[in-house]
Amino acid sequence: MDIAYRESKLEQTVLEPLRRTSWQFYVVIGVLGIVFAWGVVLLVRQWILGLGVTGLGRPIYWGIYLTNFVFFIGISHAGTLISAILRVTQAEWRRPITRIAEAITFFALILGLLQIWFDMGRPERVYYPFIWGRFQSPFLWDFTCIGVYLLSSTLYLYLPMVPDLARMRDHMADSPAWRRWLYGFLSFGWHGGHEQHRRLEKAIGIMAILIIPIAVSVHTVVSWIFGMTMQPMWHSTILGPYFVVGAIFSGIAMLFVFMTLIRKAWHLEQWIGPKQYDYLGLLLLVMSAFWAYFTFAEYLTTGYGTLVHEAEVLQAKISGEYAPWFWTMVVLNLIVPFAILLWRKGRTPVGTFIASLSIVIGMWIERFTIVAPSLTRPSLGFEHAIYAPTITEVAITAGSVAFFAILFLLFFKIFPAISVWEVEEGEEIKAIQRKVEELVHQGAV
Amino acid sequence: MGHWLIDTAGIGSIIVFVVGFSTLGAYVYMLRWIQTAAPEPAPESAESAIEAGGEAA
Repeated sequence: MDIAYRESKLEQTVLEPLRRTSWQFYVVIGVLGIVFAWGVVLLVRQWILGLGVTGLGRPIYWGIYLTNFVFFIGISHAGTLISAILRVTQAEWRRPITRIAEAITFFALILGLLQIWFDMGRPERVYYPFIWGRFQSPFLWDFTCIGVYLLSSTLYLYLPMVPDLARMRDHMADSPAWRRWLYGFLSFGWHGGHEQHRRLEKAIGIMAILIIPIAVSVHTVVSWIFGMTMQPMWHSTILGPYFVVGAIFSGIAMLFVFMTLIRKAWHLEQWIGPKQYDYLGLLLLVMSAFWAYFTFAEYLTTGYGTLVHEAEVLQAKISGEYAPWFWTMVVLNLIVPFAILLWRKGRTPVGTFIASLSIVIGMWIERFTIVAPSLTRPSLGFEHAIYAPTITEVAITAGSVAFFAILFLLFFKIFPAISVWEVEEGEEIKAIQRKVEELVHQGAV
Repeated sequence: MGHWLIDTAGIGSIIVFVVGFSTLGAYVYMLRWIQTAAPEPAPESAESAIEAGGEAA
């Protein structure tokens, strides 16, 4: 340990969870582990017995797994769009939350891709797109876009971590050998010189700009998996922007959920404060309005057109067997967020957490009401079908959510949850700005 | 011609590989560019500065 080096309060707070583990952490991991194990057991059972153990069948080929896929890919837009857009627009208040957002993106993408694997009746054929891919298929567009997005998000998560990794390499000599090796390896010889810092900031800037159109393309292409079919209420030109807006909406909400939990558990209240909740809360409100606008436009167009097959699906959602899902979605995505976030008093950690949790659940329901009802009313003259998910699908979904949480928590047990160097840089900028204002005020300038 | 490109099984995979590996290559190059940035020259100590000043005189 370099005895001449003294950790700042920020470093002490942020590195404390990496040095010590509370019993509460073990309890949380234990509970999540049990849920994850439940999911794994039922997944293996599904692989052995086949997809007949699920509620899927003719004509309902897609159900909860595709819902989860769209949901996870959607929330992966959290990091990219919040971190990237706020970085490009130089919103200084983003500094403490970008790493949490970027980590959500990375793990959500992995979980999203796994859902496709779970949905496959022949999971051993998962490598087929690498050999037999036809570019006529929207699946292959999706595969390409998500692949590029995963690579880009990995780099975009990693690059801002490098100076912090080097700091831990140099100043956490009390950590276990495997950790010191990991920090040394991942900091790839970072020496922190002026030129290296300049190049790093330039690379981060390039990635922030690049990743925005990549993220938009990903969810547009995910929507085209539905939009390019002839299924009623899927074949819609608005689906692309609708999915992108929904993705940003659910991404911000998920960021709020994890940000609040990590802030509480890791004692980061001093750095993730009222400003983040106020500004992100307003952004969430705006996205709720956008989402409501797109939903209204979609349903009004369908209802006004009264194409026979589409009218049946619309009726199922508005007043039929899917009505409880649909109206719950409207309450959770529109009524609850507006009721809480419209007033500044509601844009507090507790208020935004409740609103965000409501939106996360509401957006999952939204994905479900997109996927399932259309398939229950096929155009080919089958009788109306009913989709009833089985315990297998519920367990695999719960296991996936638990796995997501486990990966997220373990990641922030090894790496700092706040970008220390970026927050310090922000504080230096603020200090210089205050000094300049003082000088101006004194009439010196 | 266009249909053959889009519909032939395997051609799509080639496109995926080309896009994927190009992206990966670009990102690896970016990391190397950052890694190979020259460090700051070591600051002169007071003694070496005095010696250098004496020799010059």
